Amino acid sequence: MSELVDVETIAALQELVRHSESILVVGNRTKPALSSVAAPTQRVTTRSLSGIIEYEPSEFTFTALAGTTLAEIKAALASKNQYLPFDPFLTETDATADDNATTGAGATIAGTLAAGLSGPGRHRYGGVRDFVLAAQFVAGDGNLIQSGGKVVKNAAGFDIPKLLVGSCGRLGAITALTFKVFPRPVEFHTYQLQSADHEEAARLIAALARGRWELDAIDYRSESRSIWIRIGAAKAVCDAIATDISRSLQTHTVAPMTDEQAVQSWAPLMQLRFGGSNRRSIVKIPMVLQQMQRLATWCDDRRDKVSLHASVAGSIGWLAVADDTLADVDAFLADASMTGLVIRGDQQSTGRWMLGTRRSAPIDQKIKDAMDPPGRFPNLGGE
Amino acid sequence: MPSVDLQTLSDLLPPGRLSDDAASQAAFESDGLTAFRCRPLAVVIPQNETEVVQTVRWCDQHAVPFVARGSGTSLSGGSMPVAGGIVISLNRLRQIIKVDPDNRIAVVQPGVINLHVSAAAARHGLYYAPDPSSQKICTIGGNIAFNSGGAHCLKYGMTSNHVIGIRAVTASGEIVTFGGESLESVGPDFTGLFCGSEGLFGVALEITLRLLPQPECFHTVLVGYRSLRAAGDAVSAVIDSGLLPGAMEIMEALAIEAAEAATQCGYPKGAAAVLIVELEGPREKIEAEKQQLESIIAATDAFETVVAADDQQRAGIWAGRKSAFSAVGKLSPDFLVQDGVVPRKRLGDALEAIEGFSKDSGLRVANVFHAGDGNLHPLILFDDSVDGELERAEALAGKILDLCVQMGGSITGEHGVGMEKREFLPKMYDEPTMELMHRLRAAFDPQTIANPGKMFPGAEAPALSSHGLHPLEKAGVISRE
Repeated sequence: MSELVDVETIAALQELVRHSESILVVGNRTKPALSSVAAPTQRVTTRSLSGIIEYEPSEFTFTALAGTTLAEIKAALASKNQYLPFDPFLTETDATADDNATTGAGATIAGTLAAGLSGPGRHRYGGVRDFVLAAQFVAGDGNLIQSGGKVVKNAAGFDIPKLLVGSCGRLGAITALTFKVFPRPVEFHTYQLQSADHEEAARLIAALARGRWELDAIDYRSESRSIWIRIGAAKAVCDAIATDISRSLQTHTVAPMTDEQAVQSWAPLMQLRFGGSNRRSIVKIPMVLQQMQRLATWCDDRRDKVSLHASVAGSIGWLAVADDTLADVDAFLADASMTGLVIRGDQQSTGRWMLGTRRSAPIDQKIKDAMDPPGRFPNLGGE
Repeated sequence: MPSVDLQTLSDLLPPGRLSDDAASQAAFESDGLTAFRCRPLAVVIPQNETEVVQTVRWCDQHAVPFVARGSGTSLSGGSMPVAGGIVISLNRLRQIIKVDPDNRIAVVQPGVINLHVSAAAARHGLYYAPDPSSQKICTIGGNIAFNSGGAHCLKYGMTSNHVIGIRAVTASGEIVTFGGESLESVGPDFTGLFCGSEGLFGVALEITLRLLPQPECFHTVLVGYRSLRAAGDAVSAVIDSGLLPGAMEIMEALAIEAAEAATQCGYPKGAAAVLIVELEGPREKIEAEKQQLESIIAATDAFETVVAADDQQRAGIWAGRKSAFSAVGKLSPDFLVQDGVVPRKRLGDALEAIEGFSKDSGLRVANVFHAGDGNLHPLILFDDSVDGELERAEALAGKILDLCVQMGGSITGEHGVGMEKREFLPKMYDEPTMELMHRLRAAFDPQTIANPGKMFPGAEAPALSSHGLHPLEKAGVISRE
């Protein structure tokens, strides 16, 4: 495997792309599984292409270079009482990182988009796909592409910025991104309620998600059968809403978490470290509520090996997995016609980062060829 | 174009699906960009997905261009027929296949009317958020093609933000599935790419939509100002406060006058501009936010403030806004609507510049716009029977689009590029980016048969001729915004 090259200018990145047979761009490598490729590939990091280029609080937009950390962006937005509502993961420096592949620094904005990762706050206003407005990137032919627009509303041309969401660096080397942001609620407060089993949990999540309360997040920790609700508003307003939810559900009490409890609950998830030391691999699994029940039941029989955190009202499963169990996860997902994306894990166990049912549509390769005519970026299949 | 034997297409389909008589051709010769018309070779009205796929594959085999069409409300000429091509009218694919309240999704066919989705979801307390003004008649397939917007885009986003899965037939006849029933997916967001592709990739056959809980409460405020700039300043004040209204709309004097005449909406008399601000959400939040909004508005130069006391009054306020375009349109035999976007802080500068363009050209312009997201809708009034007025109107429209690009905005916020603005797309995107878009198109449509002449400048375009307002528009059934 070649040495990791740190590019400091966009022109240097263009040159590298033009002169590499196979190239993959990474950021701070907080999601190392996504940058593992079998073939000899030139790895480049854009972590030095860093900085917020434009921030217009009155426009609800900012533009940042690819390697800008989420931590820097979060701080800049917070100073103007704004935030990224899709709640990105891995914002903080990860002191527990012991993998040589990672730098210990928090995730970058381009890595977050390329991985297609959205946190619990995705429930309220949408995911990373719903907030990206423009993307500047180097296409496979080395040309610098300016796609999208820097205003919050734009319907001109193909929506290439969205295509890059989840592309894992296989369609282009991102150099800068523009996002929409929102005013940040004055406070967030977390509440929890207990379900008897996964079926009841699914029923409660469905009721919460279509209720009148406009909750910020609805997550489910399947091991404890505990549903977490986050509301963004002043404490008195949040408490009034929580009281009304209890009244509406009748059989369940919605109990407040203290601020400390809330931090202790959410932080391991936001660092994707909620599986503890023996379940360090992380798999993202898109799903619906019925699939959540099935997956949660499967996990019950393997508690020491897998742990499910179902996020965004049952739309995303985050699976913390022991490295030696990834092959079992792969088999389960294939049997259930579901797909998983390994964010962090031991590649040797499966040899790829897509688990379960995988796409194999001719159109995917045609789109890849359009974005990368010389075929310099690795293929989309995750092998 | 070489002659084609339509009989071979007719033989593929059940009787009555294909029409090539003059009456059928005439019925589909125009869309919401009413100034222009072009007759297709034939019209196919499929009853099911198989017939759509058969038609597309026939077009691919014979290299015949086609345009998929819903209700034909495109304001950019996006669903205008192609001379010598087939119109595939999707209005009969109008089944709402399912509404899943637990996962808050609806699966629909492309010919389903936008508002019908919300009607079907309403019994579960859910709705479909994108609300283009033509939502009573426009279809989901068309909304996807043009990534339609509406008054609530700042908070809720555009159509693409609410589409999570698409099954489609590409122009080369391949059936593709993007996304699915989960809000999330793995791999590149192909669904997002397909939305807003203006029919250049193929035809959507089945669409999975994300539904939202219906807002419990609305707090709608109508404010009158003596100047447009004062109304613009009020928008900035609301944005700076940290509130996130569901909608913020501004109308100026000419539009107010016309709306008042059409709907008796009770807008403040003598206002140079009115601002509509609407908060929406659970009652506990709205109770707190409405007090905040009240103090913000009180600190502006408002001369009259009306708070909707009930649903009826709220409906009245919105009736004025939603009728504005058709109402203004009645002031003139013809009009063009533009759809550019400018950064919100440049709204005042943009409106002053448009006023100058209007004076220079001798044509009146009325402005209605989505103030929250900087989406302008200048309405250019002209009379096509007067020699040169259409050309002057188009030149004025072009100046406005150039202005939007110069200010760092966009040539279209929600109508799409279509046929109307295709010459302006290269002003937004440089050559490598345009080339990439052509390559993406070729991935779906190597023969350039799906909706040619739209989005991209060049020689694909049909010959155009101007013909005045659409009959439905004259009747006030549809409006352009």
